[in-house]
Amino acid sequence: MASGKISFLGQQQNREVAELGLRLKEASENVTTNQMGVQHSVKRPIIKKVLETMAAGMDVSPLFGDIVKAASTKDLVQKKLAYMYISVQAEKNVDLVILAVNTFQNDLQNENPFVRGLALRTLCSMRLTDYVPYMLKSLSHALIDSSAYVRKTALISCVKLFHLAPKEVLDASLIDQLYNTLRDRDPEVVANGIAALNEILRSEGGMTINANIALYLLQRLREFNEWHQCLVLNTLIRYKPSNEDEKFDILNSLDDRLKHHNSGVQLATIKIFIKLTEGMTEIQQDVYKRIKEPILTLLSLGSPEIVYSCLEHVIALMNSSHQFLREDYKYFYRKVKEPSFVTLRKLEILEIIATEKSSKDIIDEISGYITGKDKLITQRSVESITKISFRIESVISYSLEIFMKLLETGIDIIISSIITMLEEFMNESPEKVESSLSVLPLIWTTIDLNSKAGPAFLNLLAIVGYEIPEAPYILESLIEDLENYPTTSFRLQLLDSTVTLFLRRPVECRVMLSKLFKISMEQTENLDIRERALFLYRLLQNDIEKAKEIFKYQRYASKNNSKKDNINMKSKHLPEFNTLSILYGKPSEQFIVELEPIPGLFSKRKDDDFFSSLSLHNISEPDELIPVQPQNLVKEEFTLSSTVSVDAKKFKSYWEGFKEIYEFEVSLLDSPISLTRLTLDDIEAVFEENNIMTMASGGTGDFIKLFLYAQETGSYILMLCEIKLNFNSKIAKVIMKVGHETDQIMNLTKHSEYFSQYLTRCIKICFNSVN
Amino acid sequence: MSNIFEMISQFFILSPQRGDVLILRDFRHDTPQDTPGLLLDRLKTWQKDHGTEQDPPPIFNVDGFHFLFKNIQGLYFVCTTKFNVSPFMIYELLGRVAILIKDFCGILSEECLRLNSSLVYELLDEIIDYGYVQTTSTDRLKSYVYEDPIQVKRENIFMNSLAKLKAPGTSLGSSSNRPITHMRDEKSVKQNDVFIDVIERLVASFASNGMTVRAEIDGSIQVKSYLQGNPEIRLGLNSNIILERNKDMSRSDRYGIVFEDYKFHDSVDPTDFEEHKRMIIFPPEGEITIMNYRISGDVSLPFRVFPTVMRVPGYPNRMDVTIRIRTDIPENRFANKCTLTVPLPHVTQSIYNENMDGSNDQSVQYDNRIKNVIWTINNLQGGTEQSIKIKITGSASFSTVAELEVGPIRQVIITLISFKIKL
Repeated sequence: MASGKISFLGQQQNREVAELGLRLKEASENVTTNQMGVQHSVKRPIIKKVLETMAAGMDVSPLFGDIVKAASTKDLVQKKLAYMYISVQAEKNVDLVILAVNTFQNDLQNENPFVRGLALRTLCSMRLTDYVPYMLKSLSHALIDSSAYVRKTALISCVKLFHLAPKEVLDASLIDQLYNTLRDRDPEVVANGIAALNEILRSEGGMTINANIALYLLQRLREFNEWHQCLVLNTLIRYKPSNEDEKFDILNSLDDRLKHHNSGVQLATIKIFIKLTEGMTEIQQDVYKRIKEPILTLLSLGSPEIVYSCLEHVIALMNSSHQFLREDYKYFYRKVKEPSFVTLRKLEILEIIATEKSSKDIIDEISGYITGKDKLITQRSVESITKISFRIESVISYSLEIFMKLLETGIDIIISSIITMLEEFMNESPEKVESSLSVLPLIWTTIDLNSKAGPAFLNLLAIVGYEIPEAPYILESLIEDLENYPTTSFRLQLLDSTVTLFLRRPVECRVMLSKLFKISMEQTENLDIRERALFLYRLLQNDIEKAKEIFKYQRYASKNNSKKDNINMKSKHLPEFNTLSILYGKPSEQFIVELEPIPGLFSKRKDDDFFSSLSLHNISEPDELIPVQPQNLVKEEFTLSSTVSVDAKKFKSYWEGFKEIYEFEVSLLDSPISLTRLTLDDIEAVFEENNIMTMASGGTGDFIKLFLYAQETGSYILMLCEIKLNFNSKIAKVIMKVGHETDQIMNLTKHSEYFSQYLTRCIKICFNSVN
Repeated sequence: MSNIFEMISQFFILSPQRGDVLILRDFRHDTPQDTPGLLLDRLKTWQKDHGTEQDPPPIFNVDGFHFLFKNIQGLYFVCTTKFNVSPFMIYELLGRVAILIKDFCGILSEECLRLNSSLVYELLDEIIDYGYVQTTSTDRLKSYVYEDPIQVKRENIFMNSLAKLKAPGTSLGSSSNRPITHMRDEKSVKQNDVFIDVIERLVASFASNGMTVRAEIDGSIQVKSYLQGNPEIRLGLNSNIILERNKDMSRSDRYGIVFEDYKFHDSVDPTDFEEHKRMIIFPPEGEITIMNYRISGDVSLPFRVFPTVMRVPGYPNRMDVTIRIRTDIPENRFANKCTLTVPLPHVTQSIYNENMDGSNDQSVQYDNRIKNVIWTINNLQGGTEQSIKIKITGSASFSTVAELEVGPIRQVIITLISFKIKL
């Protein structure tokens, strides 16, 4: 049935395409005039229809010949539409492309420069190696064309061709020609020349910039359009002035760019300013003062996305200059109708810039966000106030006062967030918190006990339990109702809290404790809970005095220390200012997956290294990712040991000891198979084939988890990783740690990068090849 | 390594409701085909995980492919790339492309994009080549792009503007919603129009006694030009503007408006600005922002709002919210429409409002779902005062701190300002 339906649809589609072909053949070249008095060629709407059909996913390749014919027309719109078709369909109709060559030939000679440019652009975007010599010939003419439009198109076409046939492009001595275009009259041509050189010479770090070129580009900077100014500035940043005078000349000549209307230009300029003044502390301080106003204007006027990026960059700048924007904290207050992702970043900044003087103002402001409608903001606002109070101790009481007041709102999300934070406050100033915890019995029914707030509440309750008469009864009702609170952390804390309270008030708690032990040991599948219950049970049975001692010290046990978070701000990398690195808060090596040639790998063979790096570069193309077997990739300098063996104890100690930690995600969305059909054995087998050993693995229904390790033979560097694969989202979360058995300090970046790429590829292979 | 690569891989426009990809241009063929699907996934999981209708941060990556996107009137404009690009440049580009599409097609809407897809593709191919931005100048693009725009029919625009009532701030005037390119052979005479908008966003917070805690104005001057042949336009601003750089003046000497910072578009010649507050504009056809400025400090506010919240003794589930608004603009001026949005406590069940001045030009609407009251006043005259009393009843007693849940009050005012235009 189903197949019959499909073939019927197929026939229907074929008929539609055939009909379009017929209409194309019949349509005359004449123009008609429609009722609006506008002239149209008859073919134009038909080709449009063809393009729409193509976009809908139907096979329109039978029409190739007809469309090529339609491309030779005086109607420019029709020509463009036909070329649009040809550039998409050429690769599927390699044999027929020869038909189009004649059209290209004519159009490349056309008197209209736009037609020449269009033909060249389309010709070079066909990825057909057979036509490379023809393309090269056309290019060399186009590069010296009289029209700037054709010349600038030719330059980008060079890059396209370079990716298609690198060797031919380099042999054709185009590089010299490209450097010559830098002297072109037309700024767009110059800019594309720079772009082309940067990309073609990328293995050498891009275009060479000497003092002459730098000065020349600076002089012409204002001629470029805003986008090309970004390009030129980002290229200029590689230039290292030889003396201070030169530095100041550059600073002065770029000063007005800080006021440019395009934030891309502004940020590129700021980056140059910071780079040039590196190591000149006083002048750099002036630079920070100079860029303050432009940045504040961006924050006030930019679109939300730009404000978001700007806030991340402000964090980076604050990291290197702590005084930066300290006084201007009011600019980081929330604005009307602001998307939440912006507000969250602002909170982060407010946490950092609060000072002794401003902290009270800031806390007042943030406390206004807590009662808003957005839950995420409520939570984060409570956290921010907490963080500020931990850093600036004079406001602790003030914050607590606000929190206590807010506890009376009766809104569950507010109360839950505050309770979670109060647990942390307990570490900082127990006395102040304890005195105010008498409200717990009044509010506990509003707390979402299955969230983080649940264990926090239990912990607080245990701490002040001896003073609160209702405490045992609260615990009792929770124990009665235990099936409603399934989370492990809640159950564990409930055990701890009940024991704590039992040690203080044995009479009231004895019955419920024994009931809790019974449930936890007999009716629970969860090993953690059972073990904890068993441990506590034995402890109480053996030595009750000892237990009292232990529980006295456990009082304010808290999981994370927020004070530390505050000092270790996101590590931001100024060298990667104005790039995505700042937004991700990590250096580009950790998220740019593309295989850069690994330094050292090719250095031995200097002569042909350029091309071997290219072959490696090609491998990183996503389409080719899957079929490549990882074995092929393993160079002699990087082999994984097939005999490595690590026992569980060592694994654990390495896992805790290795400092080089990476987290990334691998999407398996394009995996053709249903992931749930894979067994752990299949997966482990694939990893083992590739010399990645399994330490432990397991899984339930929706996800599986694997602990793996591998060792590089030459350096003995170890890689450990945890892979969590969610079948529903088809995303594998990977935590990878790299280090050396002997703890010796060495540069692991290179290896880490390689390991992560290797691992990613293995995961992909795993889920595409196992049947 | 610094970012010497600024190439983007794909550009697409996604309509989130049904997940339709309205436009997709793959410039470099180095990212997977189904990137729109990945974005849609991301949007949905974020909203589900965080229980919010808000957008996730405008950037994320999957397998080393980076997505940078911008929500423009409910449509997602997206760039994907493999490279460590400048986020600022990409976001500026996305905004600029949206404006260009609007300039060339007349308006920006899903239907308009569907009707004009081949025009948009033609435009994109001239804006970006192989991932490199070429030009976004309307003048240049006009000479490269040949396709004629298909205008969305009138009633559809109306439909559209109805949809926009939900998202105010995008008001539609019909004359400025036509494409800049006209049918080439059109017989009718081209109109030489120029539209200048001064948009100032005032953010002020008041203490309960009406004192200003903070006031700030973000202003921009936007020009949409249909003028032929790029004639120059001279625009002068108030001469009492003081520029922040003239720091040498002592505070007391300053009488006027202090521009903390300002910046101009490339098409403006600002040489005369510092001296005479005059600028010469050579506006390209289409829409541009010619100037942005920022004012803070002593801003004289056109309106003041005084809210008071009172409990009703003996009725723990009742509260009275009184809001008074005073206009400090000249008496011969009107604010055409003024709306105040007041969030109310979450236990609010119903409201009853008392119009204290008996004027007919106002209305109160209450949305129980989001617990917001919207007070609308038409034709608010300068130098006058208006107030309302909202009596609210809660489904339960108001907590002792329910006052905290009232506000922040948001105010949108549309005033008519007459320009003096010298030709």
